[in-house]
Amino acid sequence: MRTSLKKIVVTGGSRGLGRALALRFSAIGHEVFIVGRNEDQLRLVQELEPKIQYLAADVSDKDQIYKISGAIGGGLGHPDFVVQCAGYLGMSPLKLLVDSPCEDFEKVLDTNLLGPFRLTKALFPMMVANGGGTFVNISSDAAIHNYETWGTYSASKAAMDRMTGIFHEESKGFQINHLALDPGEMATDMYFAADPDRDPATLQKPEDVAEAMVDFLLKGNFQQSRYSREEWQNAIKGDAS
Amino acid sequence: MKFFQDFIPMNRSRRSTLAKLMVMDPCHTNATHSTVQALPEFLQKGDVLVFNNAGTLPASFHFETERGVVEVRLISNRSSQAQEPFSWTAVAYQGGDWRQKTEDRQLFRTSKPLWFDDRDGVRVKLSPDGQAFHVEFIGQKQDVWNYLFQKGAPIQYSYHKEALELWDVQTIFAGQPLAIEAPSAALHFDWSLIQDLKAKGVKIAFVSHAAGVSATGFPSVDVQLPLAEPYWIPTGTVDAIHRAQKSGHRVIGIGTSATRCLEASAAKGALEPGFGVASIHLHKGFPLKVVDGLLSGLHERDSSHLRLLEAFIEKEKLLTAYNEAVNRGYRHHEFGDLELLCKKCSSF
Repeated sequence: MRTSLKKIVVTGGSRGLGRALALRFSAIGHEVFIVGRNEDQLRLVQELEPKIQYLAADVSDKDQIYKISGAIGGGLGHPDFVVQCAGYLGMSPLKLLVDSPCEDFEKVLDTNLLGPFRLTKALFPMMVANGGGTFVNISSDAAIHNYETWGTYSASKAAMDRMTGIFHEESKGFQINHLALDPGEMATDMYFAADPDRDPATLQKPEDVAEAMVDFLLKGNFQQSRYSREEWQNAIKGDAS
Repeated sequence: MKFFQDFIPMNRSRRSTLAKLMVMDPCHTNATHSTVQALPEFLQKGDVLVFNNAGTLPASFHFETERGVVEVRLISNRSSQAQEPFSWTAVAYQGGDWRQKTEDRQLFRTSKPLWFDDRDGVRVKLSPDGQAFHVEFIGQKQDVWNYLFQKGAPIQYSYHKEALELWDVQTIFAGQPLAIEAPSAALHFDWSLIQDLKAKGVKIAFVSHAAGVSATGFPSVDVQLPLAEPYWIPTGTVDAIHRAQKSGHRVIGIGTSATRCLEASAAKGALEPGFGVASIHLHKGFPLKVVDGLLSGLHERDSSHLRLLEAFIEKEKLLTAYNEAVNRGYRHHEFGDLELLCKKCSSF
């Protein structure tokens, strides 16, 4: 498949799915800018793909949003894709919702909901100026099912899904897509924080998910705003058949 | 002439489509008073609004020197392409802070170049250059951009109650960080108003113009402003303007920076897409080739801004309208109220 060179922003780009997506996009020639909190980990990603640019910053911190968008605008230019992977599970081990500290729920919302909201607002004009683009928010099965002890994370992802859908409706006149993608269960640090006893062999590898997701995104034929794991993976197979 | 109440303390939240709007054109003797929200009523299907989609940089930097803290304010990008963050013209203030009017602050001077910081791979060199300074940020491009955003703050205005944050100075169209001061005529717009304009059939187009500062407080520097400023005009914008011109519709520059770069391009022969550097100064009698109207903030009588407005409307009419605006409680400066000045008649 040949595609033109794209400019990609990945938040949460130092670990897990974000790291895998950044490495995959870069490996097939796209220009990638990653944001993460841990500079040492970001540098390790850059060592694997030296063309990747990075910024150590926290997307859950309101004060840093325009510093992030400004550094992206200056260093990368108008992005074609903004993939928001930065996520916070909540305190581990997981607790019943009624036992969850309010302050921890606020931190979950700052990272999973308000961070993407703010960064979308800040980067939206660059996408408009570019004639279009796609925001991708990483969702979860927990956004649509009630799993015990996943309360704060679930609530944040459900709200993020709805926010993504409304952004999508409101952006139709500007050729800008907003997608909520559920990647499915993966062997990441975040997953094992939630379920330490899970056998890794029963989980997807983030590298495999990233390869398929990059294919899906670059094809660009989006029919809806939210995709379950089966829906977006079937969409690739459907295109191939 | 009456004066605007000088330096009314302003809340930084004063960004609203309910801001006042004064509309003037050759067919109406008196100004019409309305709100920014009602802008579509003064436009026709086929008219084009051209916005400057530059994001606003944090252009104020504080450095420790042997003589205390010095504030360095960037005033213009020296590169021919505004995406380069390495070389700037700046002024420097010694002592005081943003709560003082710039004209009351002391200019920092030094005869030798000074070096600052060696942080995150970036060094800063401040070299005297006439009344101003040449500031160089030395490092890898991405490191320099990161440095500017981590170390800098937006330029502040003494008439504000509290310091502006970076998001306060971004318009809804704020894209790549090119402008040193916000393209302030667009600060009151929201996306809902853009939807209303599009529903009416008004075309929205963009330029990217590295607008510099409007004033430094130092007369010897201010007399040269605005300095040469790099810009980019997309092909789609030129096409939209040509379509409007052919069909007899109007082209409205949203703010002086959008207007300056369109006219600078046309002044070279014909409006063309691409990069350029604007060095023209608009004034009474300037042969405007592109823009039929200007949406802008209100400014003081002796300001260079007011002289610029005379390119669109005769001075007497403007001053009469300004007197009325003062009576009606209009606010001036960035974040203040707006005026739409048209050389062609409006439909209302």
